[in-house]
Amino acid sequence: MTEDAGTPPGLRVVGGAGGTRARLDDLERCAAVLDVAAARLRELSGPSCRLGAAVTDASRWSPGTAPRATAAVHPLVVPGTGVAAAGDRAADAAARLRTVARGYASAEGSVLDLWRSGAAAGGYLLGRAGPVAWAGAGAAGGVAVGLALPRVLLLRSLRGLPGPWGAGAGVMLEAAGRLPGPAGWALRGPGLLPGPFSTRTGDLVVSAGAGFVLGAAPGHWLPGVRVPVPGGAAPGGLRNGAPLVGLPGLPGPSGPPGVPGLRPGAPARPLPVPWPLTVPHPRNGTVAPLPRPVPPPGEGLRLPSPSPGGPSGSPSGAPPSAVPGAARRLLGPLALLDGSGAHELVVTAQSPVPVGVADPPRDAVDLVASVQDTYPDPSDPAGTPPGSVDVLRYEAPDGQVSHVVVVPGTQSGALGGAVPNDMGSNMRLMAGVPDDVTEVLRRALDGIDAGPGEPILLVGHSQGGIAVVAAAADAAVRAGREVSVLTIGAPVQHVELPPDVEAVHLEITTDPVLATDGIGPRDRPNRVTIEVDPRRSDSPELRAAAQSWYRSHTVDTYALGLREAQDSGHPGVLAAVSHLESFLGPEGTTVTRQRFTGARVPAGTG
Amino acid sequence: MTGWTWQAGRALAELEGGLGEAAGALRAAARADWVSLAAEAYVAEVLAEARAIDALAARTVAARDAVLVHTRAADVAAAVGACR
Repeated sequence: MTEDAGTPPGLRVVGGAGGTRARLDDLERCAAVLDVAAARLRELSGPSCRLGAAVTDASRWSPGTAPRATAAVHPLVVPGTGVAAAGDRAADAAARLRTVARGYASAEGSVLDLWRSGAAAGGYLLGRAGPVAWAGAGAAGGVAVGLALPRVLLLRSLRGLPGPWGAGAGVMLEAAGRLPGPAGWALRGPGLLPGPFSTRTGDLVVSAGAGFVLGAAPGHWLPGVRVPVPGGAAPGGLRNGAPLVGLPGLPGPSGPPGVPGLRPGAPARPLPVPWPLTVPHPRNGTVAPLPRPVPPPGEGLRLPSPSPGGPSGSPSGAPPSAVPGAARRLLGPLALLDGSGAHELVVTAQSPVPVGVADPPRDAVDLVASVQDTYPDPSDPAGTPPGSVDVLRYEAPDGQVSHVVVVPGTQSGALGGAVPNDMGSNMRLMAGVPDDVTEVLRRALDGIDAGPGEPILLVGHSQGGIAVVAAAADAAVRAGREVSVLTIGAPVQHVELPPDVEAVHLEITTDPVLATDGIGPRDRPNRVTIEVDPRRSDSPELRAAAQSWYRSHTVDTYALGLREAQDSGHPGVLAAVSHLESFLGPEGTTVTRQRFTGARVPAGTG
Repeated sequence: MTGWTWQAGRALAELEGGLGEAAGALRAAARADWVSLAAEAYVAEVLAEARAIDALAARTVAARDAVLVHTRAADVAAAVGACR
């Protein structure tokens, strides 16, 4: 982590070249250099022995010069001070440096892991305790909130008193607000009530909730009924909520016996498509019906499914062997829930169109803000259709070409329907099983056919961020492509990326979506997380956004957050911004945009 | 001619080159970013080791004259002895 004295309040940069993990890599490299030096010094013990032997042998023929020569070579050949001893010392230093590196690595994040394990274990034990304990805990929690709330309100309202008393109380509470833990959380910030949870608090809530759900699995608390714990997982083994869905022992595709509708081999029932959709617009919050996303006949190019018999990677066409074993157990019930087995994904591609000089994003903040263009605007039925992915092709005056692929977030709360960017895709993405958003992205990448030496930046907001990370983590997607990633408000810290994929993650600490991966920012050399706390921002817009979970998640808030982080001049942020802007080309770069739109249609009609 | 001068000269050259390489490598390692990981003590140790190797290299250079005078004298004496 690179939070130091020069970092402005509210900004935290984790990972990247300046992160602890990268420095630990340097430490390992230093140990390796020491090992090489030690080996070289040990090799030199041969010449030093030959030198000593030559001087000794020659002494028989020239005894007069022997004492001076013997004294001169003595420090080089004697044990303890000679080159062999220097080699031993270098090897010893290398071993100790490696010990230091291991110590730092194990200490990194262990405290937070301990908190998460404790929260998960507490939740699990409460879940195991049964309904009586839940009621008791609920009552105790209610009493605690009832006792604490008036006091918090009183303390926070003291600051509003006029005159010196109010000013004095404000100063005292401001100082108290720096306290760690619940006291600082309760007393900090504007307004009468504490602001939204931070993502770090959310991490613990997710861990505790996951443990509770596991412990409260049906039957655990019924007297005389013994149901094995799924996978025999011990509470201490729970690290966060996201892997919970992949735990062994969850009901398989056939579902638990005796549950209607989940019989083995029961045909999936297609769910009705909920049209017209009404979703809040991510920018202004207005609610309006969205147009049906099936494009008119003859418009654009229809991208076929890569393999016959169903779209590869699509939920309905995914080969079972391609799905992780534990997650496969989830896939069956989920397919019944969202009806994906009865749908086929159709992706249409518009022809590339030149983008006006003023329109394409030319810097990193513009790039983040431009993600909004991939969302449907309810007030513009002729605008971006739902389920769209935009590909911007930048061609510099010197012929260098780069691509920016933009994937928006969730656009439907349904568990199935025409729009692939729905809640069902969210569940699949978090479970690590094939989903339709990533499938649209895959086909868009196939459609643009980026040549070698044409780097691709995958940009995703929220669900789109999870999809771009899932795609970048897939070796088949990366094959022959140079891929980088920018995620905006996406819970992706639990997904591993290969070291050759550079990633930038933007996070607003009051964005509740980020906590759903159950893991805070991790320090990795190839991934930089820029974390902005809007409650401590100088910008009134950001401070206002901090008061709302919804506004904390919008694209506009993230664009403001990146601008503020960039203005801080933090070297980690500037390096990340420079990497992102390297895709946007220099002055004179021409830009074309191609839009790919995915829609689910009933199987057999696509 | 038994070649002690050649043997000693070659061994001295190998030692000087090898010690210079090792000391340079240690100095390069000590310039890495890990210094900021509160590991200054280790950096100091690595640099001290580099200085110790430099000292060995200096002693090697200083020994060169004495060793070569000695081995040349022995080579000449051995050659004269062989002629007799």
